[in-house]
Amino acid sequence: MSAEVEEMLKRFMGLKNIVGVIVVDYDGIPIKTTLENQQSVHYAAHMQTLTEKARQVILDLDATNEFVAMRMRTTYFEIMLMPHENFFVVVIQNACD
Amino acid sequence: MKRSTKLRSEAPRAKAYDGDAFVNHFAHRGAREIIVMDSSGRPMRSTVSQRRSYAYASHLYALATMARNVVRDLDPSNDVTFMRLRATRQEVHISINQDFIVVVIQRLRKHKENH
Repeated sequence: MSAEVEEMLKRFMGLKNIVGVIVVDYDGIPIKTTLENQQSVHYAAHMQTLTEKARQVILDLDATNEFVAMRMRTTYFEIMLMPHENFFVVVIQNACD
Repeated sequence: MKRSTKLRSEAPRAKAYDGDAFVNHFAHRGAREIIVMDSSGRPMRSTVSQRRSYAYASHLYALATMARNVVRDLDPSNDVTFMRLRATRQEVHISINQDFIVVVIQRLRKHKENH
């Protein structure tokens, strides 16, 4: 199964505009990443707090809803967060204008 | 030819934003709830009830501020301009500008399953 994951990551990195993909586990530790270690640890820690906050917000606003994805568009990048049960995925891509 | 029995529902009340082109433009795509806040998170104009718009504004302003802090921490020259929060039944779009924040909440259709 790990080979499939590697292949999928490679396929992602081959797409134009993608800067990095980080798969973070439940504790906020990046388990698979295409960026350098220090940077991905930094991203992972921040994204984890953000995912928790976003999940709380969605739950508070409507208890039947579930947080599915979040996209942040900044001046240089677009960061996408997708949570699952035990992990979440962060994808950083160039915002093409 | 089937004759369907229609329940007579009462007519919706006339609101201040009924003829507004901005609101109608969004309503066309299923986004009936629009909240405009100032830069400190206080709702100024909204198409939902006051209690709900205060609830939305407080939660989403907190989330937007946190996202902005995160992005600034990762790269000080970066700043969030737009956020999209997707839930199973709704999608919330938050547009962050210098003087105001616009929140648009769209109801998703049932067969729309992505990712």
